[in-house]
Formats: sequence, C-alpha cells, structure tokens
Amino acid sequence: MPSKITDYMLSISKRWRMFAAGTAVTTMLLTAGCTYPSEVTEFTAVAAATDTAAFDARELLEHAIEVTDTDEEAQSYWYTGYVKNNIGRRTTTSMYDGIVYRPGDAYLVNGRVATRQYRYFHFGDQSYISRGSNWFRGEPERMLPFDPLRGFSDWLPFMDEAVKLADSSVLSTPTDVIQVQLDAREWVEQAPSDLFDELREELQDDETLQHLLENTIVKMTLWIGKPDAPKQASYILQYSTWFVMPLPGGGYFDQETFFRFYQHDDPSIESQLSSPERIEKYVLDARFEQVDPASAEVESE
Amino acid sequence: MLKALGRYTAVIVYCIYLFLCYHLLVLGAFADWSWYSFILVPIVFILFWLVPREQRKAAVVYTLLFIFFDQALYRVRWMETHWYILNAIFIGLVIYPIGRWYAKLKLMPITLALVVAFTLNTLLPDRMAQGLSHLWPMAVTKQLYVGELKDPFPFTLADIDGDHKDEIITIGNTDQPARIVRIDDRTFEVEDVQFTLFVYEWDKGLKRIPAEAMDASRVKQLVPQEYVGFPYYILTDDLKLQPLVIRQELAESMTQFGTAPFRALVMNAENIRQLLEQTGGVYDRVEQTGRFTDLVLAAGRLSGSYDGQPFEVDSDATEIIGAIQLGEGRQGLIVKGMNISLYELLDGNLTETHVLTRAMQPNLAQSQIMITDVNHNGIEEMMIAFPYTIILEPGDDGVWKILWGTRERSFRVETMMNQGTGSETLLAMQKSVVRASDTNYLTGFTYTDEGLQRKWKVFLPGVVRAIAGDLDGDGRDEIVMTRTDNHKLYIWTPHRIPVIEILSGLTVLLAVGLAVLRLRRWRHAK
Repeated sequence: MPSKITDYMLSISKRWRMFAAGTAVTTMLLTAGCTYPSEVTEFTAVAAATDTAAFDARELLEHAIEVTDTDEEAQSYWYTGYVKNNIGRRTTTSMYDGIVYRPGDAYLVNGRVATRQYRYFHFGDQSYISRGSNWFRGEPERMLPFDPLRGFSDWLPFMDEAVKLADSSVLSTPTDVIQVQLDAREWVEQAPSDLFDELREELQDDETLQHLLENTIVKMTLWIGKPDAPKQASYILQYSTWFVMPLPGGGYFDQETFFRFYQHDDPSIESQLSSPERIEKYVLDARFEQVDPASAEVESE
Repeated sequence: MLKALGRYTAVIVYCIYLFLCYHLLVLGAFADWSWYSFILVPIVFILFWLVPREQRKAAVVYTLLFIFFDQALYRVRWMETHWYILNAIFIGLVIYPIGRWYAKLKLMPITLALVVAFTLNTLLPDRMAQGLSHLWPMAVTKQLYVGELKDPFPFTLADIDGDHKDEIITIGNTDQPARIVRIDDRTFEVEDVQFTLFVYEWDKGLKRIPAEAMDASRVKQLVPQEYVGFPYYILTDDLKLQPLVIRQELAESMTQFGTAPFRALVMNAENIRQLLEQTGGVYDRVEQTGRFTDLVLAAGRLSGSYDGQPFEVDSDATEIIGAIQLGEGRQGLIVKGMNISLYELLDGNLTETHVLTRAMQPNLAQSQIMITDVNHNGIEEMMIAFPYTIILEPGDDGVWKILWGTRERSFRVETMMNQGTGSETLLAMQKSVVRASDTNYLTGFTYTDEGLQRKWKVFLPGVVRAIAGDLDGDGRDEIVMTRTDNHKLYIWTPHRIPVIEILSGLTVLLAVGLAVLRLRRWRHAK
C-alpha cells in the first residue's frame, strides 16, 4: 500500500513538475512587489536656438497667399484641423475636418466641440446642420462669406521677426517652415485684423486685459509648399498657432489651433458637394418648441 | 433531490469562481501584459485537458458560455430593471439552443449561469468586479449628470461640518428633469444647463446632504475650478454651464481658416475676462496657508503677509499653490505662473529662492502640484503630480533636489492616502511596465529612497480622478473616484484579503483535484 502511494506521488511529480513550476512562477510574478526607480536625475537641458538664416518671410507668405487663393488646382481640397486646450488634467479638443469646393461656394464640416459631434454643409446661401441624426436648416444671418484665405495676410506685419525652421514636409510635399513668436498684446495692437477691433479698443484702458495679453505667448508656424515642388508649390499646407495663456487660479494653459490642407483638386470633392438636394430630403422644417415634461410624457406614448 | 441541490450549488460556486478568475486573474494579466499572461493560455489548456474526456467539451462550452453571458450583460444598457431582465432572458433564449445542441448542456445549469452573471453584473455594475482584488466597494452614487459632455465633473473631499469625517462635494444637473423639446411630432430631450451641488456624507451609508442643511455659498467655493469644456463653455457663479459658441457660427468661422487663431484668442480672452469679472480681477486668493495669510494675486502683483508681516512683489503667477515646510520652522510659499516659484520671507523681503522653469520641466503649464513630505524628513517636497511626475525637495542655494521622477507621460499621481501614517500610500495611475499601451490603472505605491514600491494595482478600467479621504471617521482613508463616460462617483475602501492568492490557490486545488480524478480513471482503466 505505501508503495502504491509513493508510486502515485511520483507519477504526479513526474507529470506535473512543469505545471507546478509554472504555478510557482505565476504566483511569484503576480504577488511580487515591484519598485519603480526614478528615471530622472537631472533637469532637461535648454533647447538649442533655431536657425535664423536671412530670408524674406514676408514675400514668401504674400506669394503663398496669392497662389493658394488663385491657383486653379487649389480651389478644392480636404482639410483636417483641431483646437486643443490643455488645462491641468483636462484636454478639451474640438476637431474639424471636411472638404472645400470653392467654385460652388460649398464646404462640409465634420465638427466635434467638447465631445459633441455635428455636421455642417454650406452651399452658397443655403446651409444645413445636423443634430443627432436629424438635419436642420442653418440660420442665414449666421452665415459668413466663404473666404478660406482670410486672416493669413494679417500675419504679414510680423514677418520681419519670423524665423525659418528646418525644411519639412506635409504628406510628402516638401515645405518651407516659418515661425513667428510674439506676445498677444503686440499681436492684437499690430495685426490689421478687424476681428481684433473690439479687443484693441478695450485694451487701451483695461489694465487686467493688458496684463492678460502681455503674459500670453503666441507662436505661429506655417508650412508652405516649396516653390519647386511638383505639386502644391507655394500652397499653404499646414498652419499651427500655439497660445500659452494665464488662467485665473489655474496656472497657464496651452492651446493649439491646427489646420492641414491636402489632396488638392481631388475630383471626388466636386461630386460630393455638387448640390444640396441630397440633404434636403432629410431636413426637418420646423421650429423648436419646449414642452412641459408632464404633458410630453403622455404624448410620446 | 439533495444530490441535485448539491450539484446546483457546485455550479453556482463554479460560476462565481469563473467570474472572479476572469476579471481578476485573466483580465488583470492581460491588462498589465505581465509575463504571467504568456503562461496563462497553456495553464487554461492544461486545466481543460485534465477534465475527463467525456465531460471536456461540456466544460469548455459551459465556461465560455458563462463568460459570454457576463460580457453580453455588461454591454446591455437599460435604465429600467424590467428591460434589463427582459434582455437577459432574450440572451438566454438565444444561447440555450447552442449549448444544448453543441454540448448537450441542460437547461438548469445554463439558467444558473445566466442568473449568476445577471446578479453579479447588477451588484457590481460598470466592471467594478475588476477592483475587488484590493478594494471593497462601499457605495456608488446615482448618475449626477445627463447630457452630452463626456468628461466627469470636478469633485473634492472636505470636512464641511466639523465632524472629522470628509464629505464628498461635487456638482450635477440631475436634480432637474431634462427639458423636452418638440419638433414636428417628435420630441427630444435637451440637457439642463442648471447645475446644483451634490454633497454626500457617510452615515452608515452614503447620504446626500440636502441643500438647506448647508451653507451653499461656502460649499460652492470648494468645488475645484477645472474649466469643464473650456473655452467653449463657462460654469457661472450660480452654477450654470453656459455655451460660448454656436455650432453654425463655429463652422462658418473655422472655414475662414486663416482667422482661426484670431478667433480663438478673442474667445479665450472673453472666457478669461468673464472668469476675472466674477473675482473682481483677482487671479487667485487664499485666506490662509500655513503662516501666510490674505494672499492675493492680481494685476501682476502678489501680496499678503507672513506671520503678520505684510509683503508685495511683482509676479506673473496665476495660482497660489500653498505653503511648504522648509525645516527649522521656516515656511515658504509656492505660486505657479509661467514658471513655478518658491518664495521665502528673508530680511523682510519676499524673495524667490527656488524656481522651476518651463525649460527644466516639460509641459509645466499643465502641471498639477501637490505639497507632501514623502521622505518624512520635516522638509516638504513639491510634487508635480502630472504630467511627467517629479518629486522635488527645495535644497540649499536654490537647488531643487530630485527625489524621484519619471519620463512616462501616462504616469499620473492622484492623491496621498493615509498621509503621515505608517500606511501612507501614494495613489497613482501607472501603465503596464511591459506593455506599450498607455492605458493606465490605479496603483498604490510606497515611497522609498530606491524608488516607488508597488503595493497593489487594480485593473479597474477608466479611472479618471481618485481622491483619498476619511469618509466614515475610522481613521483610515477611503478612495472616491470618477470614471469615464458615466458621471457617477465610486467609493472604495482598501481591504487586506489576498484575493489573487486565494483565487490562484483555488485554481491549483482545482487542477490537483482534476489530476487526481484523471489519474484514478487512468489507473482504473489499466
């Protein structure tokens, strides 16, 4: 009998030696305390200054605006962009992408603002906005003239201070990269943009606003197709603006506004933005009307 | 009869065992992608191989079927219980014929699997089971916000009624029913923009303190300003979440691409000026921190007093972090602006003795700062909790001593638990050491001179913010957390039951039992 038990034990140990070892290793790996050692022993070194070779940024930008505005192949394209806000643990991103067809005065925006999604179509003097799966007519008084190049020329006064960064490429098109850094007060005061009119006026005698803008860093970077590029030569291909802005009780926050323009002259764009009729079918023509929750319960039954 | 009852009990116990193993051993292993997960698959194979051949198929199918029930029921989202039950029954009706046809499983075991999966998913919704390895769930609040914003809203813990127990303070909009809007003959729910305070206390269970029973204006000040939806929304002083944008206008203006940053600045300035208007132009104000009093940051000046001695200096800071113990009874003040500065009153002048610049620490603008004394030497440390966690001790000659730091962006310190006691624990979100994914999980660490020593880790998905505090007054901290997408608060207390070890042990026992069974049969057959 004892030999039977021994045999039995032995047969187990033979068969399951690997298994037992595996289990032991498992338990050890799973329960062992791990120490996460420090990865930092010294502070990061200050980044090297960028190259500021002499070049005429003003002319480069002026030319790019003109080409992007008038070139025949630059009249329809895809775009993608975002505004990203980093505040402490929170990152709020709004995203925009879509297509543009300038000959038809038409564009599409797939937007997402603070996690809320919507779509927006603009056709000449018609516009449509989606809410969930429903389409509504946009309000005509909220429509703006479709002028995708508006605003770029407002950077021209600052081009004397621009620096040229290392050449780069945007989706395989080689580009010149120019960057300008300034404080927001200087920007508001000197940019010819009428969007700043109100702010500029208030800035005169508002100390809080002066302080706010003086402490705001603005850094704008433009990627412009190389003049000798086979395609998209001298097109504005990418546009990024960083703000670092004081936030009451929250340190400073980072914000990046970014756009990229690509696939110029894609023939599929024209057919997608040919006419508003496709959407017309789905449009709900009605007014919003708030109802008393109690009575709505009855009606929705 | 008695035999059948015993068999059903065994089936129920097996289902519960499966549930715990699946959530704590299997998912944990894969979430952390520890080496253990590589041998997990062979272990499962061996276990099934040990099952006698004639029952093997049934065992495999039944096990998978239970896991399927659990996964399916987790994904069913119905607010009303009767719809949830109906869904569960429907799932059962679909699965039963498959189990019956393929593995000849009987009705009763399948029903029991469904009932166990249903019960456990109801008791522990939202994958709370995955926290059980080291935490015990004390309570879950109801949903506090209904609407389109995904990010959880800010919350904090504070003792507002002086009973030495922390209360949970947060905001939500579910006090009001959703507004209903009608277009044609369809009705839509539109979220309410009016928020109210939600304050909970622990009194033999989580109880909400009614608004009349507290000083609402004082409590409202305690809700952390976290700039929900900034800059598109602003939370006003009377707790209304107001949008600053209209979608159509945003779409129309964004497609004037060149103007996008110009418009962004205008909107930021508007939002910040509204914030400043609410405070009368003051960036930050603290009545008392340590020996510093009446601290005010406004219009580029920092003023206040230290031990009653007034001071005023130029400062671009926008946030007062707080007082820090420098040893020998000295105290400094940390403020955050473009850089982080440590001030000390020397010879009657407030002097910047230490500075941490944007060049020294990446993403300083976003940083969250905590003041703690992790090495218990009487000199407090400044901890950048996030991003790129670093623990800095102010040394002599204006030098920051680095006690610990990481280059891992996904690492984030959440809170100190049981601060100053023997069981002091640093709660942080840490990703797997082996795996490349940035998904991080709540981990308890102890600080040592060699590094952060891991005490435990729970693979609870989607933890956004965790804060520790003593809610029930037992002298030990509980953990309150928000998680992605559901706008509820979860309250947990750490336990010392070696759940993982018990489950591993049970698995080994199961294997041994099966092995003995198999061996006996094998010998018998010989």
